[in-house]
Amino acid sequence: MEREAFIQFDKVSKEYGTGDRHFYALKDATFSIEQGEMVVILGPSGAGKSTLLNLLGGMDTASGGKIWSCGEDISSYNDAKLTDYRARNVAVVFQFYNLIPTLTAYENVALMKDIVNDTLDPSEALKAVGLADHMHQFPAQMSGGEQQRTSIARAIAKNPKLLLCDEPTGALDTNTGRDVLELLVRMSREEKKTVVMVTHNSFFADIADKVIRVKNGGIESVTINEHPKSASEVSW
Amino acid sequence: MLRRKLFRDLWQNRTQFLSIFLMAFLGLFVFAGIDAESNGIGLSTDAYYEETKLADNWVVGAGFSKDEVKALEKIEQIESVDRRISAEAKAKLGNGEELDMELNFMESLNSSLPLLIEGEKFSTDQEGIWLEELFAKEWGLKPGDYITLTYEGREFTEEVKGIILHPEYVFYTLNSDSMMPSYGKYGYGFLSSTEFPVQDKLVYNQLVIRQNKNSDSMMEKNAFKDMIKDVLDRDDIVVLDRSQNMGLDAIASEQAQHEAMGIMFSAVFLLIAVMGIVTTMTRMTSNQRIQIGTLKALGFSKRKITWHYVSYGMVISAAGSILGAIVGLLTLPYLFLPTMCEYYILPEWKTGVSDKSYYAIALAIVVATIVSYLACRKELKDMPAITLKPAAPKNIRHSLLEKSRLWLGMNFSTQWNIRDVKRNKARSIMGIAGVAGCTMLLVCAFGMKDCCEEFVVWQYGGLITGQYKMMFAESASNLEKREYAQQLKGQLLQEGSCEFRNGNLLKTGSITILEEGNYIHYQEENGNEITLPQYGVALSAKMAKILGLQVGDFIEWHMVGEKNWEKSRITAIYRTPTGQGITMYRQEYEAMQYDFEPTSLYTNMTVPQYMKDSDEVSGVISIEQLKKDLDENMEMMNLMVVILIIAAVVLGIIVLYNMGVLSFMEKTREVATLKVLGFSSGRIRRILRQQNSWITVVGIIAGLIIGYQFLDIMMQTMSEDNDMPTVTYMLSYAYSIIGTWLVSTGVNTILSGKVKTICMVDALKGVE
Repeated sequence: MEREAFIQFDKVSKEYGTGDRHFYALKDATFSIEQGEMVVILGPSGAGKSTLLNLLGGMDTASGGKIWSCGEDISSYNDAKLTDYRARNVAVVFQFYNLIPTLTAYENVALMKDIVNDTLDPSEALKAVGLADHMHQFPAQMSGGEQQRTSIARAIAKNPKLLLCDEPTGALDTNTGRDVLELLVRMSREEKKTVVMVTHNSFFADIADKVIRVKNGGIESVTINEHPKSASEVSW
Repeated sequence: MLRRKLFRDLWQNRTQFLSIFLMAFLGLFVFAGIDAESNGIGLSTDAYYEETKLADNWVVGAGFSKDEVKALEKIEQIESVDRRISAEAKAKLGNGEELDMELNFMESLNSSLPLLIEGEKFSTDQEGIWLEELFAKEWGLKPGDYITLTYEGREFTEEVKGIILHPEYVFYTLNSDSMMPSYGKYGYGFLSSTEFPVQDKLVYNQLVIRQNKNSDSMMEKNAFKDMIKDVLDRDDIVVLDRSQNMGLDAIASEQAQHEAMGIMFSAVFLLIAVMGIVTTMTRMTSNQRIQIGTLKALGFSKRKITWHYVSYGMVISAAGSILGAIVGLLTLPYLFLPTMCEYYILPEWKTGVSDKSYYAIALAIVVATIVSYLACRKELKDMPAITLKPAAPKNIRHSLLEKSRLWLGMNFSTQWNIRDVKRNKARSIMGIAGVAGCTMLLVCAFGMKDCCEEFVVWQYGGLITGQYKMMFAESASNLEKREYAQQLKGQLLQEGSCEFRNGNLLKTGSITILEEGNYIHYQEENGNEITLPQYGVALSAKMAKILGLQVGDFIEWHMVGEKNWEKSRITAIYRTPTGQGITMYRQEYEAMQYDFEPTSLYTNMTVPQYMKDSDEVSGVISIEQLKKDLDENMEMMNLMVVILIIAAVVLGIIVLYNMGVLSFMEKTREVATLKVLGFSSGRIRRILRQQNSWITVVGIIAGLIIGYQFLDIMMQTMSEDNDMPTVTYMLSYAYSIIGTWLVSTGVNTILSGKVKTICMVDALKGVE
C-alpha cells in the first residue's frame, strides 16, 4: 500500500490471550487520517476504540498489520523507539486527566521540558487554556474542568504533531465539557494539529472532519463531514 | 520537575521514609561510630608502637649470654636485640604499704622505648628508676623523689628519674587470675641493669627483638620464631610475638571485638532498612501505577522513570547513612573512651573511620538502590496502555487451612487476619523481623551481663571453691610452702606457661599441676563435675578445639624454662573460662622427672596478717574481693547494655509504627466498610490488635532464638585465652519478652486509636 496519508492503519489487529481463550480487541482495521484533520473515533464500550488510540499513540504494540504515523512505521518499533516516538510526536489527553498529584498545574506542564527540548512556555500554555490564575494550584485544589484544561495545556506545551484524546469530556459536566471540546477544536483549526478523539458520545461526530465508527473490534465506517459544526453548537 | 515530585512524594509518605531513614541512620551510626572507635584504637596503638619502636619478639628463658645476642644481631631480618631482666619486686611506700612492682633491668635499649611523660630521658648509663605514670600519680611520686624497693628480700632505694609509659604495658594485670586491671595498686619500672640489686646473679631472662622493617626478606611469623630458635639452638626457651603479649593481645582483641559488634548490630539495622524499602517502595509504586503509566504515555523513557523511582531509595539511604555515619563518628567514640581509658593505657586516643565505613555507606546506598529498582521494576515492564489501567486484582487461592474443617470453627476476626497476613506477606515479615530485632537486641543486652555474672559464678563458685589464693615468692622453699599448706589446710598448685604442639599447630597456654585437694574442681563440657584421672593430662576444651585434639590423642607440651618437649596422653577434656591449657596431678608430673614447685595455694581459712607480710608470700587474693572488683568494673558492659536497650526500643518503635501505619492505610477502606456494616470501633480495634499480637508473638520467639545465637557468636569473638560461657538467665528472657511486648502494645495502642478517626464517607469514596 502506498504511504501517502499522515496516519495509515493497514489491516491492524490486536489480539489478547492465547489458545482457546484468545480474542481480538481489534481486527484488520484499515483507515487513514490526513495531517491537520479533526478525527472522532466513535463506538460503544468494548468496541476497540481505546485499543486503536493506544496503538496510534505508541502506547501498545499491534499483533498484526502495519501502522504508519507521522511518517514512521511505528508497528516495527521496539519499546525504546516507541518511547522516543511518543516523546517527539504525540500528546495525550486522558479521561481522568492523569496529572501528577504532587506537582502544581505549572509544574505538571513544565514536566514536558524533561522530555522535549522546544516546549512552549508553561505559563503561555496555561494562559491559552484560561488557567492563568490557577498556575500554582495542585490538582486536588482544582475542579475537574480545570484539571482537564491543565492536561490540555500539558499537551499543547509539548507542541505535538498528533494530539490524542481519550474521552476528554467523559468525567465533566456538559458546560465544562463544551469548553474543553472548544479548546480541542481550536487546536485543530487554528494550530493545524492533527487531533484524534475517542468517544462513545455520537453528538461529537458533528464537530469532526472525519468520523471513524468502530464496532466489535472492526472498522464499521469512515465518513467525511463536509461541514463540521463548532463545539458551541453541539449539545448532549 | 520529577525531582520536585520526588521530594513532595517523600514528604507525603514521610512516616515510611522516615523509618527507612532512621534505620539507615542507626545502621551507619553504629557502624561508623564503632569503626571510628575501634579503628581509632588501631591508629592510636600503631602510632604509639611506631613512636616507641615496639619490639616484635620476646625470647624468654633461664638466661641469655652476650654471644647469643651477637649471634642474633647478625641475622639480616633483625634490627636490634636487647637483654633484659624482668623481675617481680615490691615497692615500700611511706605509709608502710607494700605494693607489687614489675621491674625491668635493661642492658641496652634499642626497641620498646619508654615514652617519657616527665623528667629525664631513660638511659642505661644512669642510676635511678623510671616509673609508670598511673602508679606514680596514685602515690604522688615525682622525679627527684626516692622509692624503696625489695627484690628477693633485698632492699634497695632508687631515685625517681622519670615518669614513663611503656608500649608493652598498654594493659596489664597483676596476675592471670584477675581480668580487670586496677592501675595504681601495682606498677612497673625501668632501670639500667647496673642497678640490679644482686649483681653476682645477673641473669638476663629476656631478649627483646625488633625486626628489620626495611628488610627485603620479611618472614612469616612462625618461620621467624623457628629461625631464632635455630640460631640460639636451645630447647628451654620460648619465642613470643606481639599477639602473645598479654597487653598487646588484650587491646588488639578488644578492638576486634568492638569491630565485630559494630558489624553485627549495624547489619540488623540495615537489614530492616532494606525490608522497609521493599515494603514502602512496592506499595508506593503500586499506588502510583497510573502515574507511571501517564509518564510513559507522555514519552518519558523507561530509564528516566526507573531512575526517578530508584532515587527514592537512594536519596533516603544516602541521607540516612551519611548523616548517621557523621553523627556516629562524632559521638559514639566519646561514649566509649572514658571506660577504655580506665582499661588501657595509651598516651593519646585517636578516633577516625577506616575505609570500611565508606564501603558500608556505599553498600547501604547500593543495596537500597537495587532494592528500590526491584520493587518498581514490576510496574515498569508493561506497555503504557496496560500500566494506565488499575492492576488486576491478585488471584487469591484458598489455602489448605481454609479448606479444612478447622477454618469453619474460627471466628470472623481470626479468618480475616489470617487472610490479611497471607495477602501482605512482605509487610508481615517485616513486622516479625522488627519485633525479632527488638527482642534480639534485648536478649543480647541482658545476656551479655548474664554471661559476665555467670563467668564469676562459674569460676569462683563452681570451679574454685577456695576463699583465698596465696601466692608464693620465688624465694620460698618447697618445705616452707608445704608448711603453709598444712597450717592453712590448703591445696597446693603450680601454674606456669607452656607451649603446646599438635603437628604443625603451635599454641602457648598455661599448665597447672595439682596436689590433691578440694578447692579446685573440673567440669565436663556439659557442665557435669568430673574427677581428673590420676594418670595422663587433662586438656581444656577450647585448647582442644584449637589444636584439634580429643580424649585418647597425644599432646606435645613444653614448659617455659624447661628443655624437653613431653608427649602425654589426653585422658580428659574440661571446660574452663580462663587459662586454656593442660592440667595434671603432681604424681604424673613427677613421674616425668620434674620437680613439683608450687606457685600458690587455695584455702578457706582466713590468712593471718603475719603470713601476708612474710617474705615467702608474694600476695594473698581474697576471692570475695576479686568478685567485688569484677562487679565494680562492669562499667563497659553496662554502657553496652544501655546502648543496646535504647537501640532495641528505637528499632521496635520505628518498625512497628511504620508497619502499623502501612497496614492501617491499606485497610482504611476495609475498616470503613466494617464500620458501615455496624462493627463498633472497639471491635475493629480488637481485630487489628489480634494480628499485631500474632506478629509480636512470632517475632519474640524468633528474637529469643536469634538473640541467643548472636550472643554466642559475640562471646566466641572474645580472646582465645577465654572460654566465656554463653548463658541467658530466665529472668533476662522474661525482661526481653516483657520489654518487646510493652513496645509492641504501646505502639499498637497509639495506632488503633486511629480507627476512630476514619471517616466512613471519605474512605469509601471512589479512588481516582
